[in-house]
Amino acid sequence: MKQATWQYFTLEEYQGRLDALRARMEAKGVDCMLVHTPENLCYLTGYQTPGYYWYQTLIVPMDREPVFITRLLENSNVEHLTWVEDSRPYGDSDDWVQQTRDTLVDLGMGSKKIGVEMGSWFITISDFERLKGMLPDAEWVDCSMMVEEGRMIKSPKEIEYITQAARATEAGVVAGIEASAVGATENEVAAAVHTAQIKAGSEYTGLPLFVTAGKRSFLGHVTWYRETIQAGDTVFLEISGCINRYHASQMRNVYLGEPPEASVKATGVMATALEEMIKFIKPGVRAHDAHMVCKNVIGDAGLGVELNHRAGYSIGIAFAPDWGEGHIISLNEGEYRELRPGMTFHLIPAVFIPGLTSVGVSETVLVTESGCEPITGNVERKLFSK
Amino acid sequence: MKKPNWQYFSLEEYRQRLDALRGRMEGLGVDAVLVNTPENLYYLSGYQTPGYYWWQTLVVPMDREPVSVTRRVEDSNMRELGWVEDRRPYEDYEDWVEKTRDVLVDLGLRGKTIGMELGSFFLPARDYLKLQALMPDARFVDSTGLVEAGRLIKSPQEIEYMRQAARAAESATLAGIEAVGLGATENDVAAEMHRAQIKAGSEYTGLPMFIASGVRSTMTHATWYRRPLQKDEVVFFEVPGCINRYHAAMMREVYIGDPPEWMSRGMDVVTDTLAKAKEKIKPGVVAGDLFEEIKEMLDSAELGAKLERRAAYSIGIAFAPDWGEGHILSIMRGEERQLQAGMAFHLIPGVRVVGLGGILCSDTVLVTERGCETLTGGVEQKLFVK
Repeated sequence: MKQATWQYFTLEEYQGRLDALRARMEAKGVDCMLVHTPENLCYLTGYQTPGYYWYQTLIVPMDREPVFITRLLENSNVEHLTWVEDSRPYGDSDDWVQQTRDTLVDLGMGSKKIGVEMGSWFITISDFERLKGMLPDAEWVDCSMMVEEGRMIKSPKEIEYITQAARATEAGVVAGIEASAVGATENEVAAAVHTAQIKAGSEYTGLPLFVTAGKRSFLGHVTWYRETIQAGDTVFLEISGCINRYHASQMRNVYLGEPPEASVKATGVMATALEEMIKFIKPGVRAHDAHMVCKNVIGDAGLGVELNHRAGYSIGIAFAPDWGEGHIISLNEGEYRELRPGMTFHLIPAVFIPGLTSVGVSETVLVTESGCEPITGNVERKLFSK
Repeated sequence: MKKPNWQYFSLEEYRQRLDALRGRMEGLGVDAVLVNTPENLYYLSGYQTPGYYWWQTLVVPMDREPVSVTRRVEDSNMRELGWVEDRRPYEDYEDWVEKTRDVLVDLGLRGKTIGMELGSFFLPARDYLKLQALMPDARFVDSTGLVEAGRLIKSPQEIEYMRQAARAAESATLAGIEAVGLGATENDVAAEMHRAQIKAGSEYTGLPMFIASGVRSTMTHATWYRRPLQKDEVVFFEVPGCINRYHAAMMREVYIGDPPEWMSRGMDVVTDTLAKAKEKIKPGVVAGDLFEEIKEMLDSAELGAKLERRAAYSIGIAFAPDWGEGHILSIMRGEERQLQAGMAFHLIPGVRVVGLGGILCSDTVLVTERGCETLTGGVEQKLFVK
């Protein structure tokens, strides 16, 4: 392991992550593993680039130092950001599958058991099939979620980055509330949010910031679209901040005018659902039960609508197209795993109320030894009005 | 086909795209294709969301109207933005692969030949293998590139969106040049650039803006990282704008202080190469030949580094993690296809000199009937000095 120019974690922490991965690989009985997922590459080595639309992999053998294969252009990121010493990049007109095959053969893996992240987006089926064809004697094992298992519990340093990200998140939310006004466009509000969030230190985020108002706000995942904000509109803000690829998110709404009773009530219900979840969450409770706390508060409130999505998702390292890591663990129906200290979640009680808009109040929280503590905050949990 | 509430293209244009796709499907001999790639879904139907980290597909049979299978939360986007009438969303707790199988069986495709985008990021190997196992009588073939073949040539309405996107990219670039100065950080500059770009109408982009100073300008795809700007360093910008998911991008650079010879001469070579490349672009030119000419111009100038990557990539519709579509066509070594009117490229001559800095200047250009038109020409192609 070498020291990096920009180093996010100590070499000891990286070594600990690698050792834990190798223990899981041993249990799975593989001789090496190919890591293709951008978040997993960052977690294991410090490597990051937005350029993961080109093939890249880290080969982690059981008995030898890992080897990076990236596009030649991205090799600068291996050099400056990671501890990995053995890097074998490919040129733009080279065949990266061939390069991977040659490297595996060179490492003595040609007829071994090789783990691949078959649930990952960033190893395409056609590349995988070709690699299999080039190494007919190798045995292939699905190692999806193997690295993710380590990412689920955050270390003190990871929590520190998420906490720094939360400050940028809140700066964005506050600026969005401030900029919301009748006659302003969604883009003007989005511009104010981005300016504040980036000035507060944020990097680019895994999803766009969600800033919407008025007639488009009932669309799923809709964001700014040049619409003019009108009296009676609700501005929906779901903002993330990002430090060293660690995210924290927060959701608030702003009503333009005197808010109708129904909006105030619904927002109050969401805030209650959030508070009840925070009270309920502690090590040992099941994710499903935390979800049901939220679902029941909303279902019992007589709003005429129900929670129709998961109540929370794990959050941490992210690259587009997601700022969460809900595929690792979500607070969702049927998820019976227990919560553990060091897990972080974005809790998202939110509903769409016909005739009004999406209403939500959310925080990013940490599961501690004894309970649950919000990481985002500093913005009142209420419907703002202007 | 029904008329969407927010419509990006006429129903005639969508119909033409669908007919052309079916023509290519016939050539491949498939009874249906599944379209999972976010850009392709948008191109065909108008459907868009940043939430494509959940399964979503458009089933396009040869002999029947298409059917969408998306997450329930996203179904509103097909209803309001798309023309597809037969929508069959799945709930968060449902198995989307089984749901997709049910739809395929219901459409009579149980024992048919079905095309899938095996080269797409958003079709994980695991889901593909599961669908295959669920439908043992079907024959699955690779239909990667079938929709992309239509995206390669832009229609007048697509070009109009790219022109609008170019205005937003220029606004951001100008704001960045203005904001560069001693005492500012990369984040201060990034904040002003986002403000200007979004106020000029831009939506979220497929990649983050690239803003990198000093040594970070030599790291591919590095972007703002809270670094204070310093004297005698270059600040690199690569900036997109996006309107209705159509992108235009450009690179410019600012030098803080008196530019040294490597920088000023280097930028003369790069801008000269950019201008000469534009003169050479016209229908019928072979992409690989143009690449070699550009490479020769740059490499023979001995700037301290050679062109180590492609010289241009196709650009148009994009969702993260890319704002380009270079996998459809790039101007690179060995590419034998010819340029055609209606193609759009981000033309990116330049080099990154280790230990010194990046020397880059680029524009988005359109191949016209007679030659080449610059879309991002609103900012002079030169080294800016502060």
